[in-house]
Parts: sequence; structure tokens; C-alpha cells
Amino acid sequence: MLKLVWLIPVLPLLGFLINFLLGRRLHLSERAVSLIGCGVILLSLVLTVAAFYEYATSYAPAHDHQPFVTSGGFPQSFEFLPGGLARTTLGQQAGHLADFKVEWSYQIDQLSLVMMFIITFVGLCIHIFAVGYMHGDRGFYRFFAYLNLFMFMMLVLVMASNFVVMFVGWEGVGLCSYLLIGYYFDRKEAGDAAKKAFVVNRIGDFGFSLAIFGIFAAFGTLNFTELRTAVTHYPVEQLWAWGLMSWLALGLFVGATGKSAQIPLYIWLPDAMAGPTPVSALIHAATMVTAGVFMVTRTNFIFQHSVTMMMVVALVGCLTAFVAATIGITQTDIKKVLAYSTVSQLGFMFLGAGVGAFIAAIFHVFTHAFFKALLFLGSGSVIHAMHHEQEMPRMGGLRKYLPTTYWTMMFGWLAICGIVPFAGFFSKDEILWNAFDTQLFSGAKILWFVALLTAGLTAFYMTRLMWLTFYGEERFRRRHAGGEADEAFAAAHDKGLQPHDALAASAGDRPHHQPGEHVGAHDATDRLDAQGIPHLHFEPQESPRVMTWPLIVLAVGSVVVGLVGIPHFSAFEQWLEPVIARPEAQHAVAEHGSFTIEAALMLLALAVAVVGMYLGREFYGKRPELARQWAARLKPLYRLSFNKWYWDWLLDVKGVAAGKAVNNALWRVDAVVVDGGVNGTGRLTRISARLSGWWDKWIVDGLVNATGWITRAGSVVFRTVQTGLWQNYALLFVLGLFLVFIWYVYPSIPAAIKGMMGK
Amino acid sequence: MLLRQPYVNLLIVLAIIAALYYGLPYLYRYLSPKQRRITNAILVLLAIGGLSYAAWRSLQSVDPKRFEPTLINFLMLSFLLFVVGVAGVLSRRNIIIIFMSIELILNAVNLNMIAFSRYLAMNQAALEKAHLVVEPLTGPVFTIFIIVVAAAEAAVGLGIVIAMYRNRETVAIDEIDLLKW
Amino acid sequence: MQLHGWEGVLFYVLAIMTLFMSVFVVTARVAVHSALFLIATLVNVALLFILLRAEFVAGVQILVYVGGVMVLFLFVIMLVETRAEEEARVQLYTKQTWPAVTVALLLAVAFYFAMNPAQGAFRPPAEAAAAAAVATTDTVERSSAGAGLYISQDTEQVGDALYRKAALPFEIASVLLLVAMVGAVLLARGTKQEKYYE
Repeated sequence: MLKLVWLIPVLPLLGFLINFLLGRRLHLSERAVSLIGCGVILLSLVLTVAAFYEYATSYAPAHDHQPFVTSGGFPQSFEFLPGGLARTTLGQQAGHLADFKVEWSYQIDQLSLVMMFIITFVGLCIHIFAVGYMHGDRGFYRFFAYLNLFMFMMLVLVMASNFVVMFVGWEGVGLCSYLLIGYYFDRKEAGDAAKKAFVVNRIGDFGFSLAIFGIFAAFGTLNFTELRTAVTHYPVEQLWAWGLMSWLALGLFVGATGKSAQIPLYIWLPDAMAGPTPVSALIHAATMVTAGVFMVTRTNFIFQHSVTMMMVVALVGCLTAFVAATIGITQTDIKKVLAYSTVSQLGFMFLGAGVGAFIAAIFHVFTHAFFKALLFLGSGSVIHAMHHEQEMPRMGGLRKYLPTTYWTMMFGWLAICGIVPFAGFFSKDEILWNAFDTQLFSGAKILWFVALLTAGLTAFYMTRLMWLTFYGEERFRRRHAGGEADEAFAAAHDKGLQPHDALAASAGDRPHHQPGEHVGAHDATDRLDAQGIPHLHFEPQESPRVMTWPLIVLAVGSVVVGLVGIPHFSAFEQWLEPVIARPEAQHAVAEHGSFTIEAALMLLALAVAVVGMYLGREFYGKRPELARQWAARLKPLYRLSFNKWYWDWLLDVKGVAAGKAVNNALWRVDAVVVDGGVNGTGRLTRISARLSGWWDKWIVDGLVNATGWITRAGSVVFRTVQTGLWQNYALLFVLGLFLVFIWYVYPSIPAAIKGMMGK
Repeated sequence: MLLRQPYVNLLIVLAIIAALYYGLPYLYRYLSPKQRRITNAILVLLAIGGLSYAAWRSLQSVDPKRFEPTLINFLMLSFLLFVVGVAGVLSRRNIIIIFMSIELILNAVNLNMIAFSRYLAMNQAALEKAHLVVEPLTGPVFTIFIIVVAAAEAAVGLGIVIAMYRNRETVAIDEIDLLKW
Repeated sequence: MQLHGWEGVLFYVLAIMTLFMSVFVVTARVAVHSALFLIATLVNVALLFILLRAEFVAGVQILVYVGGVMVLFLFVIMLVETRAEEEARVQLYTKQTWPAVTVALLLAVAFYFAMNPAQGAFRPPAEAAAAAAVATTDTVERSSAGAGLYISQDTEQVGDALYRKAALPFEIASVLLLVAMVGAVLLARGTKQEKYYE
């Protein structure tokens, strides 16, 4: 089946083409669109599993666990960017000739197979969920076309055999992310979020592309397999040393921070929740945002050559995890909480990668894809049931209305909190242990501590989410108007906006609704009872089966996928071992600490998680007044968290103002210096122009005019002669005849006259 | 003798003509129309008589053989015909008459040709004695060709005249100055 | 070549007639008159041809010119109807008439001076005249001239020369006539005919 791996990305592309080009023209029904959209993903999944099986059982043992790179002819590989000879300019090989030729081919190895499996499996679940979630949307075909395009790009990204093809996928998923965040493009919020995501990603891509240029300039190749051997000729740059490898790693990491929403570029991800919930699940939780982790792991041979950059990665990841977790505590929008949770978990992954535990990072990607997709889809189910209400304070007590959603989300909750048999426990614990244990740089224990704290915070805010949503009072019955709509109306009224603008700014994540359709928990204009309180008869309903089945599958996945990575029996680690480079210098320190400490730490992490869960239940389940009390008591911290550490404010207000100031200064420089120079030049030009103008007017033009005048004066004669009457010409002709005669005979004229006289 | 001097007679005749030219109007002023007619007749008879006498006198003094026409006379006639044609071409406005003048010119040339042909035929022996090649029949042959070309030219030219007349409602040549541009 | 006796007198008469007629051609007010004078001129020239023993050319002159070309002229004069114009005392001559006449006279004078030196050369001296007088052809002509028995060989000779020595030009001339015919038809057709043919 390895011969057919080229079909894996092509099938979603086919689905995209069919749905996008024909969906509208042929008026494809929702059933047809969803069959095509999900069918191609199912086929890709089948092919992926088959490729997985073949690679694991026959190819890898036979080829020393080397990657399988497709080759040999068009469908499997082709020349993508033909180039020519170029000289390398960096590193040890500077000045050598390198052949720039980029081939479009796929690299199948342990890492890409894992990622392909995640993408196709989770992607399939989410596609099926979206069939129910997007039911009735006008752009149904468009949604599935974009989703399929995203699948294609993502698969290209993970299957790429070189940096350029990877970059194509990298940019492609960015494009799809932009298209899908802005899917409800008639809402300003969604359009802004899409633009924000796109622009922020550009910053990261800039670093990534610089790194790609640098890699070619240094090694003369962009293929991962060749690079991996080429890098071994370089020494490991120790801590605080900064060389070529560090520069390359820095560029790559900048790209990763953009795509994976790390500090300082994480701000786009929470806003990206403006897209439909399946999109948030697929792109902004399970797959695309983990591309940064994947890329760091894919290029781990470069990162491992720069200890400094490893530390930077770990620091950034740890900090992101902590900051995002603290923000997540106070958010009220269910999707925002999950978004910050995602950012936080991504921080964990980078922390793992930074401390050298790339496998643990990928393992966390693996488990996180399952439980975070589950949580997002569950929240989607809740939002669907609540008629597109996203604010948790207006939910509560949904347990009995949405039993399937509740139970599946409980699985996800337990997984993300890190309770023992669930997936999150193993992966998170692996990262924590590696952070504690790493010998790469000293002081990693601080990172471990912060990460442990973050794990507790994670447990706390996820418990908060669950309890606010599924337990307690049925608050959606208390307030008769639901949704963000009324809040947005009020806020817009304060700002003096028109209702139309307020609507545009509000609506939250929902399928495109028709005018007049009610937004929120129930119809606000319902009957009132005797006290003037609306008589409420709204009943949330469980989602259809097409939405619950993916939840169940993912819930099962959240339980079992962790089992492949039980420490010391980890099939996952064995499987991915060949992908991770082991530079000579790190062999010695690669030994792990004692099992006792590891087990103790495991228990400690478990305890922290349990404490977090207990506190969450205390605060939001048992004694709801505690939350308010503590918020008042820790007011500065609360505000810091609620306002997202002012980072958005800093960027949006202060950053823009600073940018304006810089621009103003530049403008001033432009106005004074450049324009002054230009004006001076202009003045000089004018003076010289006046001189040359005088010369031109009196000398050159004088000559020309004189010529013209002479010609005209001369022409008077010739013009007069040219009467146009042919008789005049004939007369002249005869005159000429006469002159010829005279010339011929004039010697004889005197004699003739004399003869006449003589007679 | 003054009167024997050459051209003195001519001058006297010119003086008489001038006197008559300027004096007769004064004379006529005192005469009735009938008397004028009689005077005219008398003057004409006198002139004819004078001229006849002069001619007679001159013919008396010269060898009559001198007036026998030779090739040169034909050439003179031919050239005068040519000059008359040229004058017509250059001075008339009517394009048809111009064409006729061109026919005159062509005829002058024809006459020239035939005259030379005759001259060559008559003096063939003498000329061949002087080792000259003589082809007396070239003249008539050329003349025939000239007549042919003249006929063709007349046909085309008159066609142009008709076309011009149809388009411009005129046959006056000096109203057409298209050669100017 | 010299014309003797009454032939000489006839030459002068014909020459004067020719010149007068040609002057009338040029000066006639009405185009039809001009054409008639031209016919007279052409007939005179034909008689001069006979005087020069070119009977065939004279016949051609009468047949082609007088019988053909002049009829064509008269038809054209009829078609363009210039008579009214001519009789309305419009200007007959162009503005360059006097320069033209002057140049023509100058040309005549120049020709006279050109001819003058050669005047004697064409006149045979006495012995040459005597020799010419005894020349065969001359004698034959003279002896037979008055008797009316002379049969001219001119037509035969010219025909012989035309077909033996000038056959190609002869054919070319016929083509030229064809071309002229087609051209004349094309040029002279009316707008109605133009529409009809196109």
C-alpha cells in the first residue's frame, strides 16, 4: 500500500474540487456533499491505516527504520520547483555548488504516519460531526470544500519530504484556517478574527521562510533525510553559544510559535473561535495548531544542535502553558476557555520538545488531538442544543438534557485533567517527568514546577467548565434573553451603534441564521406569566446521532490512546525512536533518572490534578459564592487574567499606537529629509530648466524657426510655380525644347543672320 | 541708289502701312460709309497690285528653280504645323480642341517621316555610294504605327474627357488642377 | 528630291492650305468647326503624302483619321454639349496664351535657324540634279506621271516591310488597340452602366 500513499492527500483535494466547483452549480444536496466530503476522508483513513500496517510490518524492519520516500514518476513524485546550480553561502560547506531542485514527494516514516493517522481519524470524526452541526447552512458545500482542502494541505504538510513542500502545506493550512475562521464572513467579528489569524501567522511564516533560505544556503539541500545526515557534521552548540544552528532553529521556532499559538503570537487562536465549532475542533485544536510541534520534531536534528534554542523552546512553551491556563480560569465563553486550554496544552508540548522529549511532545499531540477534539465537539453539541448560546453563565444543569454529550465530555475532562487511565495522564506526565529529569540545561526544575502548577490550573478550569455547563441551577431559565445578542445590543447601544452593526458584532459561532430566527436560549417574546416573568418552556435537546457518534468514538479514543504510551512499556516511544536524532554529545546525558522519583512525581501530578478538580467542584459546584469571594480577594490577579494579561490590549492599543508613532516619525523623516532633498533637487532642476529653456527657446528654437522661415520663404517661389495646371508644365516643357534647340543651333545663328543681311 | 539697298523697300512698305494704320481713321472720320467701302476696296486692290508687282519683280530676278520645293520645304511645313499644334495645346481651354491640336502635332511628325522616306528613296544610289545604310520604307511603317497609337490615344483620351465631363460638368482644362497635390 | 513644275505649285498650294486650316483648328470658337478644319488639314496632309508617292499612308490617313478618329471626336463633342458654352462667349484661351504663342514663335525661329545652314545641302547642285534627272525611278515616274499609267508599288512595298520587318511591332500595336478599346469602354461608361456591371 505504500505505493498508494500519494492518494492520501489527493483524495481530499478531489473532494474539495468536486464540492467547491460543482457544489453550487449542480445544487448538490447536503447528503451528496457530506458523502463526498466524508467519503474521501474515510478513504484516506483506510489508506493511511494500510500504509501504517505495511510500513510497520514490512518496510521498516527491512530498511533499518529508514523513511520511505515516494519516487518514480508523476503521481507519486514530480519535479515541483526546477532550479539550477547555486552556491551555498553559510556554514562549513560555504562556496560549494548545490543543485536547487525541489521534488514533490512524500516521506513516510514513523512520525508522519502518526500525524497522518491523527489527521485522518480525528478529521473523519469531525467531518461526520459537522454534517449534523452545519445542517441547514447555506454554505454547506463551501464548508465541506474548505474542510477537504484543509485536509489536503495538512496531509501535504505532514507527509512532505522537504521543506518547500512542507511550506506549501504550511501556507495552505494557514489559508484554510483563514477561510474557515472567516466562514461567517458577513460578521465583522469573524472577518477580523480571520485577518488577525492570517496576519499573525505571516510573522511566523516569515521566520520559517528565513530558516528555509538559511538551510539551503548552509546545506545546499532541503530534503529532510539528506539534512539529517548533513547536520551531523556540525558540533552541538552548547548553552549560551549561538551559531548557525541556533539561527536556523530560531527561524523555525518563530514559524512554530506563529502556527502553534505560542507567546508572543498566541493571540490569534482565541479569536479564531469565531469559526464554526467543527473548525475549531479540527484546525484550532487537533491538527493545524500542532503543526508547529510536528515541525519542531521533524527538524529535531537541528534543534538538538542548539541547546540554547532548546531552552528557549522550553521556556516559551512553559510560559505559554501557564499564562494561557491562568487566562482560561476566568473566561466565560465555553469555546474561549477551550481555546486557552488548547494554547496551554500546546505550551506543554513545546515544553516537552524543549527539554528534549520530542516523543513525549508528539505523544501529547496524539492524545490531545483526541480529547481536545472531543471537548470541542462536545461544546459544539452543547452550543447546538442551547441554540448557539456560548456563555457558560447562561447554561448549567444540562446533564439530564444532554446525557450523551455529558458522559463523553466527562471522558474528555478526565483526560485533560490527567486522571490515571485516561490519555492525558500518560502524555502530560511524560512531559512533566522529562522536564524534571532533563540534563540539557540546569534550572529545568523550575519549568517542571510551573508546569505542575499549570496542570493543577488546567484541572481547575476544566472542572469549572464542566460544572458551569452541566451542573447546578438551570440558569438558562432565569434570563429570558439568551445569547450574546442582547449583551451586544446593550454594548452597541452604549457605543451609539446601529442595531445592525451590533448584530454583526455579536452573533457568536452559529450556522448562518435567517432574519427573524431567534438567537439565544429561547424566544424572548414568549408568553409572560402573572408576575410579568416570561413563562419559559425551553427544553435543550440532545444532538442527533450523527453528532453523538463521533463524540462516543472520540471518548473511547480518549480512554485508550494513552495506553500505547505507558512509561517503560511505551510502544509509542519505541515506534518514534528512529525519528529522533541523538547527537553524540547528548548520548551521555540521555539516561533517565530513577524509577522511584518518576513514580513519586507521577503520584504528585495526579494529586495536583485531583486537588484542582476538587477546588473547581468546590468553587463552582458546591459553594458558588466562593468564586466571587476569591475574585474580590484576588482582584488584581483576577483582572489580569480576565483581561488576558493585557497582551491583546497591549498589542491592539499600545502596539498599534507605537506603530503609528513610528510611522509618524518615519513620515517626519520623509517629509523633512527626503522631501527636502526632493524639493532641493526640484529647485535645482527648475533653475537649470530655466537656463536650458532659455537656450532652447532662443537658440535651438531660433535655428529651427529660421530654417522653417527660410523654407517658407523659399517655398513661395516653388508654390507659385506649382499651379497644378498641366498646361503650365507643358509650356515650361516647350520652353525647354526651345532652349535645347538654341543650345544646339546657336553657333549657326550669326552666320544665318549675316546671310540674310548679306542678300 | 538708296532704293536698291536691301530692305529699304521693306522699310518704305512698312512706313506706308503704318501711315495707313494711323492715318485712315482720321480719313474715315470725314467719309460716309459708302465712301469708306470704296476707299477700302481701292486700298485692297492697291495692296494686291503692289504685292503682285513686287512678286513679279522678284520672280523676274531669280531662277524659278530656286522655288522648286525640296525636302527642306516639307520640313518647314512640318515644323510650322508642329508649332501651330503646340500653340493650340498650350493656349486652348477646351480639352477636345487640345486633343485635336495633339493630332496636328502627330500629323506634322508623319509628314516629316514620309518626306524623309521619299528623300532617301530618291537618293538611295548616291547615299549608298557614300556607304550609308538606307531604309526608305521605315518612314511609312513608322507613320502607320504613329497613326495607330494616335487612334488609341484619341480613344482613351476621349474616354477620359467623357468621364471628366460626367464628374465635373466641364471640359475646361484650367479648372482641373489636381496635379497641385 | 525635288518637285518640278505643277507639282511644286501644288505643294505650295497644299502647304498654305494646310497651315491655314491648322491655324483655324486652333483658333475656332466652336469645337465642331475645329473638328471640321482638322478634317480639312488631314485631307491636305494626305494629299501631300500622295505628292510624296506614299499612297498607302495617304489612304490610311483618310480611312483611319478622317473616317475613324474624327468621327470619334465628333461623337464626343456631341456628348459633352459644349456648344452652348462656347457660344456664351466664355473664355476660349487660357491665361498663358501670350507666353505660349511667344514660345511657339521662338520655337519656329529656332527651327528656322536650325534648318538654314542645311538649306543648300538638300538642294542638289546642277550636276546632281542632272544625275537625279536621269535616275531610273525619276524618269519612269516622270514619263508615266502624265500618262496615268503609273501603278504605284508603294502599297506592296510597305506591306512587305510591315509584315517582314515589323511583324512584332505590328502585333504589339494590335494589342495596344485592344487595350485602348477596353480602356475607353471602361472610362466612358455611365454611372448606370457601372452599377449594372458591378
